Amino acid sequence: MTIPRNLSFLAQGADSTGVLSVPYGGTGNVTLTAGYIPYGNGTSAFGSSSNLFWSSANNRLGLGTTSPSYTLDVTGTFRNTGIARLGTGATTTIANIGDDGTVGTKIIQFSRASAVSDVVNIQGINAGVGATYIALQALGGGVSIGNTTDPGSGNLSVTGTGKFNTTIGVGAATPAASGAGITFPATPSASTDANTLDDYEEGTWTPSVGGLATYTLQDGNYVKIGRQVTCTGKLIINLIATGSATTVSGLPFTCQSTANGTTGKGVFGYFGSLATNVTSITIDVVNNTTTFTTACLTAAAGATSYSPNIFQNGTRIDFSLTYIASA
Amino acid sequence: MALTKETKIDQITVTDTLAVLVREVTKIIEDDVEISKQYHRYSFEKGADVSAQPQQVQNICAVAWKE
Repeated sequence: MTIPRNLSFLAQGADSTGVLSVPYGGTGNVTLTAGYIPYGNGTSAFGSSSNLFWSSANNRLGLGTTSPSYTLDVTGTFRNTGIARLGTGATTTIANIGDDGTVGTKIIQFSRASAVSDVVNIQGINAGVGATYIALQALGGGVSIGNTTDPGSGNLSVTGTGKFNTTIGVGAATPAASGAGITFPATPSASTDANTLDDYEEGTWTPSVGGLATYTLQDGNYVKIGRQVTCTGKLIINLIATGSATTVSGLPFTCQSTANGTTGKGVFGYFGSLATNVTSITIDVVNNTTTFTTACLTAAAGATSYSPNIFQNGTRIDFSLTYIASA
Repeated sequence: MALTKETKIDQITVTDTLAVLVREVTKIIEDDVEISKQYHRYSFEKGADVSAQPQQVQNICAVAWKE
């Protein structure tokens, strides 16, 4: 064995004294503060700080704090330039933002450079499947956009305008798959509020005079907006038989009942082969029914004749009327 | 791509005056997705002749108009 000339030995039983400096593999420190994590400082002694703390009692790392409450506890702002992955498949609460002990508005801010067209996109992804939905406030509470007012549980409050490219459904209605507009429930949910539009429906209907009458044509269309119903129709009676000579039935909705009979009215665009010659004729929807009759003048007079016999074999009427439905 | 058309009575309403309001709906279905829906309505006042109407309408009228 070769022994270097500068190597010295302590006598057996003697203690070494002094501080082993960094260049000789030491820390340059006599002691290290408990919990403080030393860091390199060139050839000078290791530094340490209360801002970098390890709690050996509960295995927690504190950045900016000497009393970490969590496995990693940061007091101050931290930055992550990569993708932050939070939670595992077994994790229910992925992130808890805010402290129960503090008050005031909590802000989550997504920043991007100015003067670029990039957007902030919050995207739900099912691994291996692709895009999926995001549920907000699934456990209750509301959502406010553009304001900090509590809209109430399950409610949405938007300050500003909204935009839907296709359709929206109200009252649990499934939005229509075509076009753009508002889809109301197939069975209306009437509102008692005077400023709330609660129904829309359009379709066809079948005018008739009842009985055993036969027809050359029965045709009608209707639109219901709220409780207002507008109908158009064309009826050509072939043989009236036991059908009514005064009344057309089959309106799509029952007319409201009013004390003064101020129900629906309408006009004829064309009539032919009436049983009676007339100088004027208008439609009068019968209170609380799905029928209408007519009010006529057969000659110049101060009052119309209500519900005269005007329908017969071959009568044709083209008409339009509007009334308020009972519901 | 499978297109189907179905027409059925989807609503029968009896009013407080015992008028019976019938609504038929015609739907165009493409691959289980409804792409079109149209309504047709007709109605009957109490006592009207409904013998030519669908059985379910007759049944409702019979119950509603039973004295």
